[in-house]
Amino acid sequence: MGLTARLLRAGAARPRLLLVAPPGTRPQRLAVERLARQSGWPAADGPADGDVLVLCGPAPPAWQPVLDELWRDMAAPRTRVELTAATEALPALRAARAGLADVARQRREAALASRGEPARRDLPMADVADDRDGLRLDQLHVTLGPVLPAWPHGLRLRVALQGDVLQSADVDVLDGPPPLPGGGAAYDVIPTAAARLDGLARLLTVAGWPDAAAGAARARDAVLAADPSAPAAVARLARRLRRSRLLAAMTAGLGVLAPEAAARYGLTGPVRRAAAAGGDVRARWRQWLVDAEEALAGGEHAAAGDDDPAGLLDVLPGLVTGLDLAAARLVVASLDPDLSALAPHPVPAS
Amino acid sequence: MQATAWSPLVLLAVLAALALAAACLDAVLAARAAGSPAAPAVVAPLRDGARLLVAQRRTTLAPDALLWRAGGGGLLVAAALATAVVPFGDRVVQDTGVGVVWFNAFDVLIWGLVWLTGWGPNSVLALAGGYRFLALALSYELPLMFALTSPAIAAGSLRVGDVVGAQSGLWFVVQMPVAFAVYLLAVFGFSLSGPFAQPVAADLGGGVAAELGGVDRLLFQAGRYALLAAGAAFAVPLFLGGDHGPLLPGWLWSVVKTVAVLAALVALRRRVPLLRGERFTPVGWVVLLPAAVAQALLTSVIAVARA
Repeated sequence: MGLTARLLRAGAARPRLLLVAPPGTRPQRLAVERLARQSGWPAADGPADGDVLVLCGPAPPAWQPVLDELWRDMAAPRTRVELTAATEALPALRAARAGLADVARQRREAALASRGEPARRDLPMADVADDRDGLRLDQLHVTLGPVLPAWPHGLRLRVALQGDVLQSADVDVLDGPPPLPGGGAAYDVIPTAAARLDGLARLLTVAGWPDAAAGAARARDAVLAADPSAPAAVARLARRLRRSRLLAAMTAGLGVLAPEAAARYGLTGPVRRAAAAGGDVRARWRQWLVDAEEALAGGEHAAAGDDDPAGLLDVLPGLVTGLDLAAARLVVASLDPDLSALAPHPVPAS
Repeated sequence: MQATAWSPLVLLAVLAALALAAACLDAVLAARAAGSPAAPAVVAPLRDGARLLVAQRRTTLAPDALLWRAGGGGLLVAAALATAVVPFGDRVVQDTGVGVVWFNAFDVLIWGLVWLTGWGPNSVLALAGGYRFLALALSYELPLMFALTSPAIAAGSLRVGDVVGAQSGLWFVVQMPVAFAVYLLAVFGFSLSGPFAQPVAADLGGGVAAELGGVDRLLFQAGRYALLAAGAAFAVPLFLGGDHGPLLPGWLWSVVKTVAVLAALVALRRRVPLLRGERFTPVGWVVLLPAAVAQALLTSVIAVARA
């Protein structure tokens, strides 16, 4: 066995997964995330960092260009797998590992891969616009999404950036797969506690606290598996988050949504309830904790009810305009719109 | 204190071993948090290294290639050169009379290196990571400079060996705890880790590292761990009495203390979320900087009173 084969095999035992989860594929995503976490396989930050493109599918046509771009941006060794049901997660990840360790195949991939060139994330020429302090500064037009770590996949935020401050923001959504016959989005529904913990895991990833995010993911998976340890895991997480003065300080005052506005946009879930307690990102993650605790304690209906995702998307641009990228990402994560529950709508051609 | 010249190759080996140990410890702690088995995590950094060694290098459309590669690879060089003035026992590679300033010079060089890594690939996410770093660096660098000044004032010398010699009675960490705390915070800062990892954070798809692939990513990530190790190693002569200690030989005390500081840094940084530049900047300028200046002032008064 040559040196290349040895190195390939050593690396393939710990691949980085670039997960793509169009709306409506939450069961597949959760299955892959749980297996990856238990095997110690890290998530890729982006295509440059990924070895395996994991598509929770089947991919709707609107996603093909997105997938092509991600795949082109990945350098060899690389492989891609697709799973159409949560039960396919284990064989898919095994196949990915085998594909990465296959020397002949990776030599072919290396010949095909464009090594990121020409990347499409190039900067368009900057133009100039007034900034909030009355200066004239360079302005870049950038699309955030539809695939970013801990991001509601499918959401696209078209922003004008000055430095890293969002001067304006527009929202649209790439559609997910068509609803299953007769099922609507029902196949995507998970227990309230698990949904809130899933939101927390993503928010904590965006907040840059991997250990707490892992704790939230473990609690989520325990709830999904109906594990008797779930309430204890949630209590541990809640204690940790509520004690963190730093997390509170970093999320306070961001993306404030007043109760009247929440009512006007027709929100009825945790975002609406959090609006009564300050309405910022901090109030929203605290509300998620309360929801998860109540749902586990048997008060499922008190904590149930999600916010209308269409209302959340209407609220979003106003909340993130004027924030920097980090704060805007926290706001998006704290709204956590469930895009699979959106009524199907045409994707604007771009 | 008379220093013996030491082979740079040995120093590089020590630095590499420390950086690798830190990466392994970090992987084990991450595995424990995620509930995955710890045994495979011990070799996880080696596996990551293997996959990056065989991976293709990446490029982007119209990159500033020279500056980009120089920035990413430069972190390791900066870490190695900064460590050159750190004595292990009575051995040191570069026994210069301005050792404290020497170390400071290389931590300032990191500004340029990180910015170039963000600027080079012609990519929005990487560039925004560069902006983030500058905002954070503006807030930790001045407090760090004053924190470095305090031990030098107390020792009356910028030579690292003299700073160690001045601690034969009392370690400086006792005399100047604020400077020590500010220094450790800044170590997170210049190694882009823990609460200061915002420039390479996942929310920006990896920030300044967003477009790095293959060996370029390997050098960059190794550089970050090497800087963390260099920061831990320099804390020992500066604040923790260098090679002073009973029974064990001096060089071993240096190594033991360095490993302890490094392990504490790796463990501590997992306990907190990221500091966002927007929120940290006021703290850096309104709290840390005056605190570090007050510490230097207090140290100066004590030094003058003693003289």
